[in-house]
Amino acid sequence: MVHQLSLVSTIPHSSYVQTISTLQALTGLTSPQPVSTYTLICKPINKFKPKFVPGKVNQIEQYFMKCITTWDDLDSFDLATPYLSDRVSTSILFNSDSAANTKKIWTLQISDIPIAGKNQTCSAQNIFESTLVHTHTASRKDAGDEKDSGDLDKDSFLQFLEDLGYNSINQFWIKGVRFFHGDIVIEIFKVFVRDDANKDSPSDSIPLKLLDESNGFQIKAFINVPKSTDIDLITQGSAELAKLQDFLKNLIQLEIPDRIFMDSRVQN
Amino acid sequence: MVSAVILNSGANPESITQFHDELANELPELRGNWGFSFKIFRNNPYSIPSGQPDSEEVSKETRFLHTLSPSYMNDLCICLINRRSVSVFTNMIDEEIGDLKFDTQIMTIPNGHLHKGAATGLSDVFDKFAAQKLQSLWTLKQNVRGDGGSIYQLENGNLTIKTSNVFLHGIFKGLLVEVNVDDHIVESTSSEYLVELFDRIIIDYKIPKGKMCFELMDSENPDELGDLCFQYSEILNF
Amino acid sequence: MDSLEATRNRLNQVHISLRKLSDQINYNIRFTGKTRLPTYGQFQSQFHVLITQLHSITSILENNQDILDHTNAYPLPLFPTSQHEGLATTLLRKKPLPEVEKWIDEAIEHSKSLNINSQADDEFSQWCSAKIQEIKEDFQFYGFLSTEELEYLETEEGKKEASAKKEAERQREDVEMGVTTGKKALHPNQVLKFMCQGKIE
Repeated sequence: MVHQLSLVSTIPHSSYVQTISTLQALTGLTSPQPVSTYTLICKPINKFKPKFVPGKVNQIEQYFMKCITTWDDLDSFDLATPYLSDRVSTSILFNSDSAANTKKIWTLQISDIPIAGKNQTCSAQNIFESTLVHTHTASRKDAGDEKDSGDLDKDSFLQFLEDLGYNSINQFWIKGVRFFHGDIVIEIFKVFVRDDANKDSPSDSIPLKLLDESNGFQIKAFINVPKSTDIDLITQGSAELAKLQDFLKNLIQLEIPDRIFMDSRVQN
Repeated sequence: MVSAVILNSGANPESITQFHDELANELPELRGNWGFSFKIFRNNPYSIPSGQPDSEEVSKETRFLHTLSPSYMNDLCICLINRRSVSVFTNMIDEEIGDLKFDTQIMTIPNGHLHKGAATGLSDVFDKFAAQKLQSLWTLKQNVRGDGGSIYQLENGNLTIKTSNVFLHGIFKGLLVEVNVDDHIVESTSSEYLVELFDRIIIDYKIPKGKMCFELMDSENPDELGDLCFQYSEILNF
Repeated sequence: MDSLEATRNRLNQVHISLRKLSDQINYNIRFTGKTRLPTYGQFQSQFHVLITQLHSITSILENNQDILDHTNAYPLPLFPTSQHEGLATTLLRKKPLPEVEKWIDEAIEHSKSLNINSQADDEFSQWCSAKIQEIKEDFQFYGFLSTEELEYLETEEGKKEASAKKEAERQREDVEMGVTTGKKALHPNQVLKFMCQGKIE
């Protein structure tokens, strides 16, 4: 489990170079680490209707789940150039040739809604994740389940996800860079989504467009604490984030994200 | 590697000691101790498929999710759903394991996965993840533990016999014997061949009789770890 | 600087104590001929001293954390100290080199011979600033342009220049517009919501 303390912000595309140079100077990191991920947002397939027992509060919630893997295309894409549409596409990950895809590593991630409270210096939330390195689907003919035969071609990861009870409902790609300042990780990234309007790309790739069409960058500064019970580390981490917020206030307005927007519970 | 799992539910201290003595007579190479954790989850009955009419309060179907974590594979967790879908989870990252990587069998997360930001590097073991965050879909039914096990390697490393005491909620349920045969002395994965192979091993090494499973989920398309978890699920079906 | 010096002193103390302890042990072995260790009491007191010293080092490090965090030590460990010892010592000198010292002395001598009166200098600069203040009061300021410049703007040429400037400004805005497509930036909250639930509202 990870207890994540975070602050967020956004900058217009035009301030990218300035921000990067400032952070390079601040962190002493001349070549920041590239971040590039592909995420499936998944929702439970079934409805959850717990039996209502008077006097007993139902503690079990259903959660959206993120399945994250690396995005290996597009390594040469330069973030400093403004991204104008119909220039980026990515190859299709799940094709019928499933043998090539079985080696993909996925991280399943479910996060709690950030902790509520007054006078917070940063947002704090628990994130649970587990990483799988191998999937396999057995095509058992004696299972007696007729529907099996139909989806044998399916990627074994998607099959696993479905058997687990999740269905992917949306997807996004992230491309950005990452700086380290003490314990703080500062990520600057753009979010891409599938561009359904663009029909003329080759059939083996997915055209992408920016989620934020104003071409802005998202900024997230965070500290991961291994345990939510480690009060000392959490206090120290919040103090460090507050320091960074103050230090960068003339460049980036780091603010506390609204916890309601980070609610990943499924409303029935 | 093909494997078979045998549970001798009538085991008592005497018969276990006797079996260990028999094995020791074969002059095996001792590969240390081990244990395992095997969990059985059932689908949460209040998680209702969309096809079912609203009037019904509980789900009609019954599905199972099994997880197996043997201690000799660091933080590894094999997950089997509905005896069909297999996933192998791990917490070990390539660069963390370093010199420990004596065994190429150990599956690790490549460094790039962490560096490119897909994971935080602070993962949970999957059975805990499922028990904590997937409660609405799966409820933990049984928690089987294997303790005080030994690993014996025989026939020049081609045959491995692992023994372990099985406990369900702290109550002794018998002696589990896992037999692994190395790939290059296995000629086929057809069930006729495997029956013969394991029958020979059982007689040769006087393995106590009990419920046995050596079947593969899919004989044309074997998956080592998945099939192992499948065999556990068949045997430890309490 | 002070904090570094303090740390250095404390480290030195630890070094001395450790050496003393090792001497004590070695002494007994060497001169009594037997492998006899110092008594328990001696050890105890030595360890106590060591612990106190280490404690004071940690407190110094902690108190000066901010400064020490931002301090870089030179030469870096990678620097080939043994090959370029001369260079390292030259770079790390705190006092000027003898020849530089000579230049400084010469300069001081030279300035004496020039007979400069610094008092007069100061007075002059004060007079200047007072005078500027005085003169400033005679003018009135509205905007950033002088009367001549304003008049120039009224002429044909001036008008052309102004419109060229406006054009350049507009072009810059156009480029900006092309990048942002004129849309307002999404708030981080909206993006986070998308990343959690896969939809934007």
